[in-house]
Amino acid sequence: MMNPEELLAQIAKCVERGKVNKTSPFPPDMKEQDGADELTSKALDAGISADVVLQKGLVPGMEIVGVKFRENKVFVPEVLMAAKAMSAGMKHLKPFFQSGAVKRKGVFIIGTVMGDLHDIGKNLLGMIVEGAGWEVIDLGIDVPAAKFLAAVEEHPGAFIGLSCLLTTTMLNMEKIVHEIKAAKPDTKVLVGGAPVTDDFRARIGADWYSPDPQGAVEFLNKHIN
Amino acid sequence: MKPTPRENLLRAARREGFDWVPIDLLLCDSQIRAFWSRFGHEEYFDWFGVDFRWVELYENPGFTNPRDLYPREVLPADTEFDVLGLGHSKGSEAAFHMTHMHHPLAGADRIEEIVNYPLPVVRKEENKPLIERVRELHAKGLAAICMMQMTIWEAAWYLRSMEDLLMDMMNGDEKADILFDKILDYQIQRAVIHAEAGVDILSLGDDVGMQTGPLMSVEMWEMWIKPRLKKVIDSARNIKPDILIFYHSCGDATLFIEGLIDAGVDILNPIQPECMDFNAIHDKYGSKLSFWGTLGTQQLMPFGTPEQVREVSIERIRKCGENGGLILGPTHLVEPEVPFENLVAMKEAALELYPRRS
Repeated sequence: MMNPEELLAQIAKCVERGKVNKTSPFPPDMKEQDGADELTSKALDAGISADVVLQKGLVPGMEIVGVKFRENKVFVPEVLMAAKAMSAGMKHLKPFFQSGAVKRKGVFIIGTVMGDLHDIGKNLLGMIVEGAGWEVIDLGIDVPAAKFLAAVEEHPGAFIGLSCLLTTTMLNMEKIVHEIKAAKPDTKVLVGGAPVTDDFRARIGADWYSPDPQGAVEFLNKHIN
Repeated sequence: MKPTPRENLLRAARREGFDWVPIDLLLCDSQIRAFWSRFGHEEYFDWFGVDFRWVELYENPGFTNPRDLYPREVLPADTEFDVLGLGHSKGSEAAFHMTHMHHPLAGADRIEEIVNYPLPVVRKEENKPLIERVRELHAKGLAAICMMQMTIWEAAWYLRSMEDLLMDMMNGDEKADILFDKILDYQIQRAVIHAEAGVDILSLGDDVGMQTGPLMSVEMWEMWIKPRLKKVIDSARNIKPDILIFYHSCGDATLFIEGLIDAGVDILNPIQPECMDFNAIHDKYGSKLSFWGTLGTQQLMPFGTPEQVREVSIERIRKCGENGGLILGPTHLVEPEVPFENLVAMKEAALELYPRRS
């Protein structure tokens, strides 16, 4: 029987290693062991608050993954497995989010800009930011400025993350940033994607650029409303 | 004696010297239209002096009604289907030529669905036009290159979806092996027909790089992709031992280079300079590998000046030296915002150091 600290550390380990539940065969060296699914449930049953389970168990596990991904120590498949483990744990926290007993750090609205249909980078960003304790609203691909603005209207104070892969659509990214800033000057806009640089970010008036998802998490965590 | 374009290209690709620097480029639709308005024709390969032409294999779709391949998804009315059965639906007008891809095996949980998925049928007897086309190009002194990119990894995830395929691989689910092997058999058939037709360059590829590094670990690639890639290469080499193997991966493919050479790759494409250090890669692998591309389409080609394009082109040509090993070109499809002057600067830079004798 694990004590609360051990339980939380083991939840973090399950997320970091991508151990979803007892029956999941990955990773092979954790076969037959409880995963994030069972351990989150056990932690709640043991009286650990949902907030502590989230902040000291699930989130730290995903943070390690975000840092390792930035350092090229883990790759897309490992991030995906970690996100699966994270969501297996989060499933048990859902009632606590609904009741307001646990709150997310804020809302992050993401989308690939209008004209661009690529979504791998944007999806990875979503997984890692969600794993950091933020509510992520994914507007999908080919998203016009109006849709981002409508989402901010619905979620006041939300941050926006714009992604693009093509140089062609960097021009649309610029237009979207201008439209958001014109309508909602206080909204913080993060930009990313293969051709995007910090110089480009500065030129188009966005607030933050990161070449990797963890950089976005770090910016968001510094600006919790 | 002046070599034919084919001889020049193949010697350069084998690092056996060259008379002029071979160049390559692929224009998007709007660039082709702009070329047409400028010159009254769209034969831009002729205008730029490209030494090869792409050839296509004929294959039959394995399905009758492609919408039947999507029991779990209602596809938009405008969806078009390719020979693999992948659905492509239109984006907004701003998306130009890009389409949204639909994955027929996404969400499939029964092995039979993977086993029975109808891949295209390739028949030798239906590919006489390919043989004739290759002969015709050779008679004109041009080299023939075939398109077999999206070889293993990409073909598999296009069908299955990246998330489902990665989950299968990580969980050791046999669906991954079944799908990869099915695709391998199909690609071997295509490689053999291309080799028998006398194609000079087999163009293979899978995007395994991202802007910041590999998409998957080298170990994972070595386990799942490389052995199958090698089988495709070996199947072509068994028929045509001197066939050149071109390999494309977007993003940073540096860590895979060793394995690619080991699998039999001769030419790496496109070496995105924004995330790969061309000079360092050339220093390390330049004696074993040739390079195709190298002029960045994220920075240099769309946003650089013609003078900058000239400078980088000349730097690349000098780096590769007298033996060659370089086919100079934009790293990806030339998108609408690339100024035509930058393409001309590339062409002229290639001729500046090694003029083409008339």
